[in-house]
Amino acid sequence: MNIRTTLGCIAFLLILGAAKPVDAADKQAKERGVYDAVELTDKDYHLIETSAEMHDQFQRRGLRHSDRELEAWLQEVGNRLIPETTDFYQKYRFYLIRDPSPNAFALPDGQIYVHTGLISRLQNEAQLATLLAHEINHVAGHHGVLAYRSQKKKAAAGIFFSIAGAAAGGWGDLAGLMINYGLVTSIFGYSRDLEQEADVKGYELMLNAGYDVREMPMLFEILGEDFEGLHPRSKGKWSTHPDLILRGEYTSELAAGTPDEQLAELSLGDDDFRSRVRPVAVETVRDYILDDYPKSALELAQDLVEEDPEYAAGWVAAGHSYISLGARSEFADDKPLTDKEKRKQVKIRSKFTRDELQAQATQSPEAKTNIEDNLAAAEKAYLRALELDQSAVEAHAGLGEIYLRQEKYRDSARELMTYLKLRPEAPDRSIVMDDLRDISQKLKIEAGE
Amino acid sequence: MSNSNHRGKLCVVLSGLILSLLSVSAGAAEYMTPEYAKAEFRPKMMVLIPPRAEVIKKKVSSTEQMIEEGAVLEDATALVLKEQFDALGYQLRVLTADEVNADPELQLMVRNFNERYDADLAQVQSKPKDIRKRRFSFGDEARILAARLEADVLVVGRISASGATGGQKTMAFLLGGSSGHAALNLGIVAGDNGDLEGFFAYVNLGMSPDKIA
Repeated sequence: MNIRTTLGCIAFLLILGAAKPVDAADKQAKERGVYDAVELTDKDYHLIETSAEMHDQFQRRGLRHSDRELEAWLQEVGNRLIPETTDFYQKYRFYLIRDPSPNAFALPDGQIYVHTGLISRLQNEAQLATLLAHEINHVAGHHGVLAYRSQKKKAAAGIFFSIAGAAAGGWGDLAGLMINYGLVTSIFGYSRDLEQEADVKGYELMLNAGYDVREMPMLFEILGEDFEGLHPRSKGKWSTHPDLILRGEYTSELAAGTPDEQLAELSLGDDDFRSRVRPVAVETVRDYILDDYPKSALELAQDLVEEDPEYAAGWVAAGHSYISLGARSEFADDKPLTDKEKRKQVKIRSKFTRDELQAQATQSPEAKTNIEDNLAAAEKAYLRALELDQSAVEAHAGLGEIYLRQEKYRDSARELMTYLKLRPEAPDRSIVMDDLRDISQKLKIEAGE
Repeated sequence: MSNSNHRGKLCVVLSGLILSLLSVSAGAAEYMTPEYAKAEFRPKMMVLIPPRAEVIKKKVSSTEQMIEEGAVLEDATALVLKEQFDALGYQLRVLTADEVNADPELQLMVRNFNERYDADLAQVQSKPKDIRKRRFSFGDEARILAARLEADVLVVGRISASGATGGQKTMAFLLGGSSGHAALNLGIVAGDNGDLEGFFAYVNLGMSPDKIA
C-alpha cells in the first residue's frame, strides 16, 4: 500500500472516530432538519480565518484553475442551490482546482472547490448540482466547524497527517495543505452520518432548484469507476468513501419516492454542459498522463470522442493517451486483481520511479505487441484529428513521435518540422529540435555518410 | 503590529532559520552525480523554482499564522539561497510565485514540473545515494521548463518545519529548541536532460534526522 492509500485509510478511520458532532443544540437542529446558526468561539474563528487564507495559498501554488468563465458558471449553478445563509461567516464561492483526482471539497467559510478530474467525468449539470448541493450542505450544516471542535485537541493525529501529507508529495500537495491547517475532514470526508446528511439534504436543494434528482445515483456510479484496476487514486472522500454503492442506493430510493408530476418538471440543466467542460476534460487527460495513469487518460479521451466524434482535440487526447500506455495493454486483464494484488501493485508503484516502471513494462512477453498496437492506435487518432481540423497542430508532434519510435525517420522529421512551422513558439520546441538533430544524424548514418 | 511589519520581522527570523540550517554541517547530507561532484557540470544560469514550505504545529488549534509563516518561509528561503549561491559564484535567478502566476503557460509548466518532481521525491529521499547512478530524472517536464526559463539548471527547494506552539515561539525553537524540527532539501536538476544532479538535505532537529534525507 503506498503512502497515499495508507493516508486515505488511516484518515478515514480517524475521522470516523473524531468527527462526531459534540454540541447538543447542533444535534437538535439537525434532527429538526433545519440548520441553525452556530456561534463561533475565538478558536473556531481561527478555522474560518485559516479557510480564508487557503484561497490565497491555492492561488500562490497555482492550484486554482485559470478558466474564470467556467468558474463564473459554476457560481451560477451554485447560486441556484444555496439555501438561506444562517451565519455571517458563510459566503458561498465556487472554484475550480486543477487536479485530476475525482474530488470536491468545501471549506467552513463557504469556499467550494471542484477538481477538474471530477467535473470532467460528469455528464450533465444535474450531476454537477448533486455534487455542489452535497458540498453546500457541509457548509450550511457547519460540518467543518463541528469536526474541528472535535479534532482540535488530537495532536498526534494532526502531526501524523502533516508528516504523511508532506511525504506524499504530488497528490499530497493539496491534501497536505488541508491537513496541516485543521481542514483534513474537508478533503478526506466527514463521518458517515454527516456525509449521508449532506446527500439527503442535497436532494431537497436539487428539487428546489429544479434539477433532476434521478441523476444523483449516477454521480456515485461515475465515481465508482476504477480505470487502472488498482484504486490508486484514492485520497478523496468522493472516490474513497466506502459507501459509494450504499449512497447510490439511498439516493436512488429518494429519487424513486419523488412524485411523477414533480419529476416531470425537473431538468438535466444546461444542454451545453459537456461543451463547457470538454476543454477541461482534455486538460485532465494530459494531467492523467503526467501522473502516469494512462488507462484513466484513455478512458476519458475515448469518452470525449464517443460523445463528439468530430471533436479534434478529443482525438489528439486519445493519441497522447495511446502513446502514454507504452508497453501496457489498453485492455483490462481478463481476471480482475484481488485487493491483495492491488495493494502489491500500488506498493510497486511507490518503490520505483516513473522511468523504471516503464522500463519494467517493456520486459513483459506482450510488450512488443502492445507497443506496436498502441502506436498504431495513436497514429490513427492523430490522423483523424487532422482530418477534422488542420489546425490540430499537436497531432503533427504526436505523429512525429510515433514515427521516430517506429524508426521511420523521414516521416518523423516531416511531421516534427510541420509542427514547428505551425507553432514556432511551441513550449517543447527545444525538445523537438533535439529530436530533429538526432534524426538528421540517423539519416546520415543510413545514407552511409 | 501592522501586517507588513509583522511579515518583515518574520522574514528576518525565517531567513535566520534557513541560514542556520545551511550552516549546521552535522545535519547536512549531500548527494551528487560524479560529474557534479567533480565540478565537470558547471551551470551558468540556475533558476530557483518558487520553494514550497510547510509549517506544521502540533495542535490543530494552533493553525493561526501557519499559512503566512509558510509563505514567508518560502520567500525567506529564496532570498537566503540567492545569497548563498551568489557567494559560491553561481548565477541564481529567483523565480517568484507572482511571476509564475502572472503567466498561465509558465504556471502550467511549473505545476507540471513540480508534480513530476514530487512524484519521485519519495524515492529520492529513500535512496539518495542512487543519484550517483543517475537514477532520477524528471524528463520532459524539466526540459520544457528549463528551456522556457533559459536555465541550465533548475533549483528546487522543499522546506518543512514543525513546532509545538504558535507564533514566534515556534521560530525560537526552530532555531535551536528541541521539540520540533526544520528541514530543507534542495534538488539540482539539469535543464538539458532533466536529470537530478545533486540533492542536499539540511536539517535542524529535535527529532531524529536519519529519515529526513
